[in-house]
Amino acid sequence: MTRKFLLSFVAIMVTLAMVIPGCGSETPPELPSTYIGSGALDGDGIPVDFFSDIDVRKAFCYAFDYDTYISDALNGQGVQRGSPVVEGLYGYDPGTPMYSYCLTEAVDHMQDAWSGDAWDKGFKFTLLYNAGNLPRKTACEMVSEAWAGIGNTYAEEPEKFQVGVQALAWPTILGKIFGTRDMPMFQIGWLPDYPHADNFIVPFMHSQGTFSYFQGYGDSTLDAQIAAAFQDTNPTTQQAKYDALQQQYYDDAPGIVLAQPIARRYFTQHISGFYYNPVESSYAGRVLDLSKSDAGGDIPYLHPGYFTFETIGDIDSLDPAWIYDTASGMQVGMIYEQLLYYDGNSTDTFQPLLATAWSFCQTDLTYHFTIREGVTFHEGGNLTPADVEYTFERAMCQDRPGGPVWMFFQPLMGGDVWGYDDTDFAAINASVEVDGNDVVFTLSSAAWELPFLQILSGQWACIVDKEWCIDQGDWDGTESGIAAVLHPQNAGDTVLYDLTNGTGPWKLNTWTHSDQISLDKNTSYWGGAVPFDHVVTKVVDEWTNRRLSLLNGDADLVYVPATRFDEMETEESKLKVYKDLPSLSIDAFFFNMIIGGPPS
Amino acid sequence: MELRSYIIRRLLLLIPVLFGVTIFIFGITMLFSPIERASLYVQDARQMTNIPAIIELYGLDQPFWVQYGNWIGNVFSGNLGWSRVAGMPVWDAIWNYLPTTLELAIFATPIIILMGIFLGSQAAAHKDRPLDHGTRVMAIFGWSLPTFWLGLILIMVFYGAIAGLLPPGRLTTEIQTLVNSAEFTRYTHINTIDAILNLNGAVLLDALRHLILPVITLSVTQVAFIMRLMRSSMLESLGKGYVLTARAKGLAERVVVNKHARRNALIPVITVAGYVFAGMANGVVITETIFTYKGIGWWSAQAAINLDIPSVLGFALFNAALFVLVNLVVDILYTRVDPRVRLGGTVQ
Repeated sequence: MTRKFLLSFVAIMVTLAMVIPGCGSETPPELPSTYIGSGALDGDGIPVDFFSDIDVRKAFCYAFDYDTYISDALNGQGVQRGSPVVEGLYGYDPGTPMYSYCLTEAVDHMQDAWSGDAWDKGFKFTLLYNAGNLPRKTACEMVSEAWAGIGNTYAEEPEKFQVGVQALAWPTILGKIFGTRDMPMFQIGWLPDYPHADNFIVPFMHSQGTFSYFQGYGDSTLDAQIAAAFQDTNPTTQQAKYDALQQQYYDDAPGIVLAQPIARRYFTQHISGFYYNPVESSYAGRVLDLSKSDAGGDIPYLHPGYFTFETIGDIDSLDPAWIYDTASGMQVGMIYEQLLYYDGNSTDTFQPLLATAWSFCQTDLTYHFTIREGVTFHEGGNLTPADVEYTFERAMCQDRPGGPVWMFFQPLMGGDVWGYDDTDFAAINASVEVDGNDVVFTLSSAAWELPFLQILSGQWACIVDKEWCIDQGDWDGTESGIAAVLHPQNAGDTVLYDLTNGTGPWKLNTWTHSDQISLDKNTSYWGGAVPFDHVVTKVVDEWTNRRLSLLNGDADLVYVPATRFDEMETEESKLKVYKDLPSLSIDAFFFNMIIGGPPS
Repeated sequence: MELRSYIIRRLLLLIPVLFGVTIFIFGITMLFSPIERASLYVQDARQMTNIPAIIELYGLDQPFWVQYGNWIGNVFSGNLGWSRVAGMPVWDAIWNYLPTTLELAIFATPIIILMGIFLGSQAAAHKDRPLDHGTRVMAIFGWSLPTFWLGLILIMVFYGAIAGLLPPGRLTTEIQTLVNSAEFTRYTHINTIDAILNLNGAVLLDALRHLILPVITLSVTQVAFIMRLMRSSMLESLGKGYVLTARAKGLAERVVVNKHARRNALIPVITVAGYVFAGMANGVVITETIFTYKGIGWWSAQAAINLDIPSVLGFALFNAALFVLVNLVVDILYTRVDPRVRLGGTVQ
């Protein structure tokens, strides 16, 4: 028996050895894509540059039923926008025109496209979406059905315009968008790093943008326009330039902008003090501003002193320089503090936290921050300007790939500096300096005056304790120590992954990975009273459990996906519900203007 | 064959098994392109421009043998890699999630096996009588209930309709805070055992309160299997000549059934019981997910969904080792139940 087993084992190994080296490396097919049929405008496919014709793109924009998409795919929780710059961002223009669902316009444009060939011959291609994402599936099906309808009604040839729909796994879709580039159209969404029009216009419109580069949109003229808008320090003329860019997106129609989603929050009636700031990464809003007291009603008042939040998905890390997801941002934001933070629900005015005052000097591009005195870290150390300097230098010398730290490099170094490898320690060292009780940042351009404050309000800019970090074995503050901390591979490779020492209102008690994080009150918090003795965030994937927890009073707030809003309507009388909260995000279709990418 | 050399031989067999399993799974993951695997390290589109850097950092464009070689080299130096899903090294993740699953298995396995054996032998002894029909209906009912449905119904009744009676999760918030505190020593991370060792009644009661529903869910669906197997095996041995002899000797029916027939009928049940335990110890995905009772099954399922390759490989190693060990234990148990079975040889 054993010999037979070993023989078959060897056979499997040999087969694998022969098969596997061939896998993973893509062999180039004859056509750059299997989703464009014949690859020609012969009624049985589309050419690779099909979408480079603006009339094709406009026809597709007019053939999309935006209202039905919002009511069916988003449960009514969305607002159509004319460009990727959504309401709530600095630079948003409410006057940008929007495409409406108009099949006669779609027909007109398609008749003009490709000198009439597109209309005469018809087309055939396939749309892909990531399996499990219902709104994206619905959007694809709506495109498909609209064109089938146009074929039927206007061309009187039912099979003339065929758009197939196919599901693939999310990693595969990402690989196609950013790797093989073989999808005729792709759908993806964007979240803000900081609430500024530039942060949305660059990925959507710049020739090197995260999305526009991969769809072949953008040119040097547009790049210059984007740079000019960003660099303009006069708010009035700057707004005019951003208005023009948003109009440009509408005119060029490089994609179908779908909708800005609208969020809701469901608290028990015992919680008060919630206000919505669209940039806030914490689902609960600022927990420090919440409070809990027995408000009577149907839901029992349980777990006094606890704020319990049930959500989905664990956090990535507790290291401020590592985190780039909202879930981690929420926890880090309770343990640590930034120099300043958004004021109430504003996205461009600020309140002081660890800095008491700040000022920007236009002539030498320096930002002065006066550091608050008398603040102590959880482990006892005093907050000093040197801690602030160390915080930013540490982040830049750590610079994890795919992390948030490019947001320090860009304002401080400018140009093509996106990470540690593009600069050196001397430049990093010079960009943040201690000056008495101040910390001085030297910016690369006056254009960063506002966005830099927005970046500093992010949880990645939370202040750590220099001496304590060095004691724990983190970066020692010298150039020779960088090699040991540069470009960490795994979240756990950084010292601050699960060791914390902030100045915030709560300190970490336990992080039971993928199960729950519990924080305890910082009894010596500098900012006064702290509303909860414990803040517990539990990861509960099952919706029924979250719903019942909320209704039983075991949780004070639970994550409710938009698909469950209907179900919650009958429970609303027992709860405190906040509706119509606009999210700073947008989903869009992108037309791939050179399918398969430019010929190399 | 001597017991010791038998065990050593069987354990040596683990090496090619583990090697084959990992090469196979590693090979399958290579079907994804480097870009696809790199995009797994990315949470959102903002990070997409870093894909080439990520591919280089993790060596994802290296040939298969280089990547496998790196991994196996690390394994030999005791490093199974980093589990993105768990947020900790894979080896730590196994030890972190195992106690939760063991807590379920420790309570559910005895219930399933003892109830299965008892009901199965009763059904066989009362063949074609109401007791037999009754257990058959129960078996069909239990076996065909989808776990997720039963679990959700139990939660809706015992946590929803009777508000807050038997909550999901492992411990209540306040008790969890107590368990996390310095006053409570966590010896095993199995809450019930730790509560007993700490002599803390409140924690024990709370842990049991959270265990009732998942254990019921597991038992209802699995007891049917053992019961039906026991019944048929029992019927077979009740028809054997030695049972006739025993009856002819004038032994009481109870003795005939319990001592002569049942003991011989246990062999197939022991085999299956081993797998029931192994199946439970390597995780019960649906039960763990529905009851927010996050054990190794939940972790492995998440790892597979998220294509967390080091976790999937680590879990495969754990699983293969577990099954080889359980098989070994089952084989040794045979010799205890049936003296005719000899290790490494044939039935005499």
